[in-house]
Amino acid sequence: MPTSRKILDLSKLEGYRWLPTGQSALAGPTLERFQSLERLFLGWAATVKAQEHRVPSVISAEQLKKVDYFRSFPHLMTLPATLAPDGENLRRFTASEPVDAQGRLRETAFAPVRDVLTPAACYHFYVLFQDAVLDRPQLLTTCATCFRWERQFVPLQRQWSFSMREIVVLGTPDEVETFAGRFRERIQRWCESAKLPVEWKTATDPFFNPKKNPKALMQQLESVKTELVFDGKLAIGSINRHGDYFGEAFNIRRKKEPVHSACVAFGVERWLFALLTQFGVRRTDWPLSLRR
Amino acid sequence: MKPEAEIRRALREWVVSHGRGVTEKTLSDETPLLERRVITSLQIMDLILLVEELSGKRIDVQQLKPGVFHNINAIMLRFFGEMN
Repeated sequence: MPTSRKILDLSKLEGYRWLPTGQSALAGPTLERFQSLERLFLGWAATVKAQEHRVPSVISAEQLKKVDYFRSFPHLMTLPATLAPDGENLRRFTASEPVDAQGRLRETAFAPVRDVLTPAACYHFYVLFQDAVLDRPQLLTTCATCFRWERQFVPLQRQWSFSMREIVVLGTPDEVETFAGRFRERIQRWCESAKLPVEWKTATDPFFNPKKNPKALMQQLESVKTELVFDGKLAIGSINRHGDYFGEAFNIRRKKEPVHSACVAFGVERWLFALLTQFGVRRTDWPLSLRR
Repeated sequence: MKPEAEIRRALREWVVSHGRGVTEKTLSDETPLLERRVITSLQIMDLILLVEELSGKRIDVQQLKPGVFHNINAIMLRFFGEMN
């Protein structure tokens, strides 16, 4: 198993700031390295002519319900709440100190919550293509700020909000398989040439109560999720084959059948962690393809 | 334990009646069950219970490896291996 013996000292990292709420702020050379990774992923997306999208920060609960998101991942969701808009409620809210001594908002009544802060970038594409009949494969890419609540946060490795770059295919089983195979090969070749110690491992998504969730069992049996693991510990990316799960849930069709789909996902902060651990923050010490 | 042919027949009958998009004629012992979503998360636990019943052995779900429910041949090999 390829491993790294290096340890990253974040306190000495120029332009890096960790917020104990589980978020990273970047500037200076750390931000530049982050941006070079984004260019690398965009370059990979361009090799399959993936169309770039900018997606909203929230996604409708009604749409996520179609893939049983709330029973599968209730522990991860983060909700965008707004105050109930009636005048009396807003007056009560502003009448006293809105934030208490512990930093908690003294909310009065909330309006009904109908959306969720984006938990994964690719969901937006299945909603976008809902009810479509595709006459050719769709190749798409986006980088979304995603939100997942966790019990513990670790700088750059496990964050409440993080950047997820995804490249997605909607197509026939063969088109999807070709896509997944090519990306695995491309990523593998790049990591080898960059001397980044990684390996591929079969994985499952972090389901709530996985022992009692048949969806978790299905992932375990099908081997549909393969993670790219840095240093034997940290998953920095994954290739996910969905079969026709999303095609059926969102009624997207191709050649008279529910479309198949797959995505390649990169956790950009985790890639940043891996590359900083391995090569430090100086541009000239990074792999050639990331020095632009 | 029941004879192999009887177990295969029981598995096929169950998949045809509970699975999606297959008939007696189109289902073979090599038809990919999960990959083609003949069996989905809605049926997988019931299929495991059927295999337990036919084999007379309890299955530790956490220990199941990818591919063991790929098709009827794979199920036979993994859970009724001593018969082949």
